[in-house]
Amino acid sequence: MSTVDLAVSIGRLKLDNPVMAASGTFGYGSEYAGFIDVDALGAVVTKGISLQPTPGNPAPRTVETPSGMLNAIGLQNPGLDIFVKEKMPYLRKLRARTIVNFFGSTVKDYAELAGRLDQVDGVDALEVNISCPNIKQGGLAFGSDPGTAARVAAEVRSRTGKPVLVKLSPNVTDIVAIARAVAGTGVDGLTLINTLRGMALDYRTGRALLGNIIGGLSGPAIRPVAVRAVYEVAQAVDIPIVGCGGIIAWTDAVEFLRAGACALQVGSATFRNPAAALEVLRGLEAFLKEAGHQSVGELVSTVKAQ
Amino acid sequence: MEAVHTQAEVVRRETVARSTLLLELRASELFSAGGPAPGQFVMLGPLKQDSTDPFLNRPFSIHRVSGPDRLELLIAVVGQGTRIISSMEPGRRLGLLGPLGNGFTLPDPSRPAVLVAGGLGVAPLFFLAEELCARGARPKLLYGAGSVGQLVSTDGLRAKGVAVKLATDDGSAGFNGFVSGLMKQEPAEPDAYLAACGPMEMLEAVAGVANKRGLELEVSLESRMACGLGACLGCTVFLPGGAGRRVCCDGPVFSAREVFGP
Repeated sequence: MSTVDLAVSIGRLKLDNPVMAASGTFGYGSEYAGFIDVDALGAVVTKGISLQPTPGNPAPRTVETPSGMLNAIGLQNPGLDIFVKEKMPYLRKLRARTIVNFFGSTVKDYAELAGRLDQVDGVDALEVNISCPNIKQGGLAFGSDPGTAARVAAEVRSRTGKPVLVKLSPNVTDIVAIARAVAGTGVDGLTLINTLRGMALDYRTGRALLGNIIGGLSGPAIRPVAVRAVYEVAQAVDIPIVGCGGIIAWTDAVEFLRAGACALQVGSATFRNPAAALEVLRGLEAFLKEAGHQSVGELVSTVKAQ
Repeated sequence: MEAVHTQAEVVRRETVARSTLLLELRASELFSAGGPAPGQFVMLGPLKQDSTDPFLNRPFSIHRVSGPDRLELLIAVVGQGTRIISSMEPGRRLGLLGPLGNGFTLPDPSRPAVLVAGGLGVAPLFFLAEELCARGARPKLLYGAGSVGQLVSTDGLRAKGVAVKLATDDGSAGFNGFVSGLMKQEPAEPDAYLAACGPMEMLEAVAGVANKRGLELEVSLESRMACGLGACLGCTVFLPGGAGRRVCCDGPVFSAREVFGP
């Protein structure tokens, strides 16, 4: 029986395998501990953390849409201090890597968070969220302009020795320009993509189905957008790309790898099936074996034109 | 007990009131470690294994435990997902995540217990009433709905010794008016345990009556949710003090004082 090397490197971040749980869909890991072997994941990406506690948006915060869902959670989180005190003890003990997703409302916030997370034992890498569509200040505002995005990335990079990923938004005219600008700051990798802005109404009453009116679309509905973004960016930058957006099965994971991602995040699919990420991993491993591949990397950027 | 992700088999499906379906499921794993408690819920789905539309699982209160490996859910047929469920033939299997949530605080059987239901909010109160009966209590159920056709039969509960009083908005059965009005007519029982489930406005009215009588009330809340496990934060409700609580795992049962203020 041939063995497959599942280990991947995203810049200086080394993972035992390429499948992670995406930010915002896996809490702080322990929520799923009763259902799956969290340690079998390549990494857990935490729900986004801010300096101060963030209450989040009014209800309703989720609505189901064709092959996906809209959410407008509004980055509810307990703030850095409580996160470190209450959530890190579990994450620190995991064999799976811990990647802390974080956001601010000023560049200074991002810098301070990066500096403080740098000192937290057990945090293996940071994921900079400049792409959340659900908060008024910050979030997407930093991810819509190449110059601003690069400034945030450079500031974070200068404050930490830990590997840094930057999660980009698809809600822009030219994601390649933003990816190029961010890649130039020396970060370890890019996560593509966050949710797409969307909304849904009750056709009878005209009432918006989200308390925030507008939310972020995720799930298989956005997969083609994500695969395209990964493909375009992979042509343009030299740093590793983590693919995210609508992966529910191992076949989707292979599609992202071929498009140019070197690792993957499984998000909303976990809501439907807590074991989704691990099933993706097992399926991917079986596929690699069967196809005679020795490593995940052999699939990366193997797009053929018609 | 710890929640499990398992397969459930449809055993029975029956229309029990207007646009209201009773679904009986066999799910032995759900009962492997003590079984569910009154007030807990399950997530059903995916509803179509090979299709992503609908995408999410759906939360349903546990209506009854009908056998050593069986549970019943009460389902309002309102949208795409519940229409799919309403067409599921016996023998069909689907995913089940549960039991989830905290459940009601079971009062000492010597205390009087009054359960107040509005519409489909009656679902978890059947389970609670039957559990209280099994512990030797004689609970009372005040049950309101829009009209007689929307009421689920309470014959089974009455046979077990539950005193049932009905209310309908149009007066077609029982008290003519809201169930909170019926509750006001009922004599106050000192030291009674109260539990309620139904629309938010109804819960608030019931909490007002309970407050006036100085009685402890537990309310079971409803919210849209994606995961059911406390991860997505989709079901957060804000309490009067401003704190956010997750309906799925901090609830769905909360003290009325916590939800509506003292």
